[in-house]
Amino acid sequence: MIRYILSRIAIAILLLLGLITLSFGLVSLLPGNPAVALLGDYATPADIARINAQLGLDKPFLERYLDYMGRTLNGDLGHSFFTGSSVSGEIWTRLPNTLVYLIPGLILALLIGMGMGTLAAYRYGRGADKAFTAGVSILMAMPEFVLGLLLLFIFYQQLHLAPAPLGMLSSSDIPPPKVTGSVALDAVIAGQWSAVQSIMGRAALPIVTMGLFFAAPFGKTVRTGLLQILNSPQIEFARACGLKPFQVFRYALSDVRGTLMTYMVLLFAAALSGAAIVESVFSWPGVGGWSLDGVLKGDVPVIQGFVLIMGATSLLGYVLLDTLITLLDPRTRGNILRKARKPSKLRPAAPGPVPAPTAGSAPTAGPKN
Amino acid sequence: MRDLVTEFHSRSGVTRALHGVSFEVGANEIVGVVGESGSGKSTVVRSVIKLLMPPGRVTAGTAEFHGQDLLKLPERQIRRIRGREIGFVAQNPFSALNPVVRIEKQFSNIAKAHGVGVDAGSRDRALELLASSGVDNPERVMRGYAHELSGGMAQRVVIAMALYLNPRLVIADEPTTALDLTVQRQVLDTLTRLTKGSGRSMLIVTHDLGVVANYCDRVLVMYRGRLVEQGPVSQVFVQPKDPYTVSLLNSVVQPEAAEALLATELSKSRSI
Repeated sequence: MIRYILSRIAIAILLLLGLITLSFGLVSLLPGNPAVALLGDYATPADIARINAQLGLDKPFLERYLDYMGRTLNGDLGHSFFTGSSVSGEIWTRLPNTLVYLIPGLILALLIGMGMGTLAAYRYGRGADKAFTAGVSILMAMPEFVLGLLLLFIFYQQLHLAPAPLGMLSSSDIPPPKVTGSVALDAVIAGQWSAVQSIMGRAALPIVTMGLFFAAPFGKTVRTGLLQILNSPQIEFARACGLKPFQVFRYALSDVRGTLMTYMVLLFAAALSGAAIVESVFSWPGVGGWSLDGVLKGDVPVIQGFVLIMGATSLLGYVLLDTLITLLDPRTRGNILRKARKPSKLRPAAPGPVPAPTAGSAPTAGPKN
Repeated sequence: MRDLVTEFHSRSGVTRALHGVSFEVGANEIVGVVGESGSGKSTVVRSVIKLLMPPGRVTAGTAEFHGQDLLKLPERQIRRIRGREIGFVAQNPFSALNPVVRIEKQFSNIAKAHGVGVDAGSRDRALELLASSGVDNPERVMRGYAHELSGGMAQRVVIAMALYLNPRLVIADEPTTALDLTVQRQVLDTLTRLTKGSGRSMLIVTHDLGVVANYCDRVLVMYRGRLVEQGPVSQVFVQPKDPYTVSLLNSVVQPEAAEALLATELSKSRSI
């Protein structure tokens, strides 16, 4: 089993190297010259050459690649062309801000999706199911910024329940002393409950936006998966044995659990890339809005850093998922244990239930993209 | 006398799967249901225990089981009857057993569902049933998962689960179709032995007339949602009344008939 986990980690490392290469290559292929973007359209060729030399862009491709690979593996993601701030430092302070609303948002999405999807599957073809299907269609047709703006319109402009979408802390809040780098965590540590409250109040609408936006595809998956298993011979037999509805539901859930877990990780990856839009709407000081800004300006190290972090996070998620699913299912688990016991017996490696994603698809994989 | 009278119409949309089917299963009796695919065999038995797939619905008739009309019972009560009073043997054991739950746990879940205490005694009963169903090493099977079993063994486990709470009626929906020919006989032997031995009744759906001839007391012949003929096996098979039964019986390759045909053909060719 340890052997299996090690093999997964080895694959993950290979994919990570691929990801670094990709983030380097993709950005090099981007149109536009950063020096021109920095200096404006009226820059003289001499100025451009000077900036290129400063940024190391005049070196040959291979040298830049090796240099980039080496620096990245050492944890140095470079400095922003425009602000000069360290990319890894920026990510380190901004990523926690993103997670403050992203994780509760995803949990909300899972709860809503699970509840609604289950209800719809059990009430298949009836009113509740039809209402669910219609709701999902509407939500899935709506881009997340529309949803965010709609929520703002209702809860901020009309009902005055939510604070203005002007970031995480209001100007009257005193930022907590820096301990972990995450403003929310620092506020908790410092015991500044008014700041915590302020953050939570401001995070509410982004959380609801994320929750509703991702509840739709997740709920749809739950419904489809459950419908399939509920009409299967397995559940028929379970019911024929007189199992209680709750037991039957647990049997059904054990069947769709792999699919749902896969989808959760997929949603997480999609949510990370979707964060850019939500953060723009709510002026949230997270990693998404910052990277969007970087993309618009052509700030290469920022784009590379963002792609890397999103990709690596998704990669980690997939490796964990793959291992977990394989170990949870006795059928695949048995294979691994047997393989570990008799290593001499040659047997083609059983592919995991989830194909390992290619590095390129990881950061952008999602139902909407 | 234990009676089961069923008479109903089921409607899937506008399709009527069964057009008023009436029959009964007596105590200690094995009744076979035969007919071609789509004739409503499986629908009949599923209607009895209310396990029809969503659009299917029994719209008329009664299914009386020990003085209770099963069709009028609320889901809550019919659930208590399923598994405890009426056991169900599924067609394909691998799609019926839960792949990720240990066999032992699946047994104890059944016990729990019916409020039967889960203790050493209930475990022993499961082991005993597995052993008498012909499972080798029941102890190991109990601790394992469905995918570790062969088809025949898995079906024996399904039979043991169906009989776990000592039901008075067993419904078997093509219990051997998914199995190898060589295993089919053993499984059927087991199933009928365990049924007859303890005064249970069985309703067995099959399209294998041989199964009916060898194991059943009475037979129901179904065609296009109608019961075209029913009666003791000896009577229906020897003197079929309905033309469909005749054609069904003729469709079976009978060794004696084939030999006779061959003999006449041979004598013909010799005379030429």
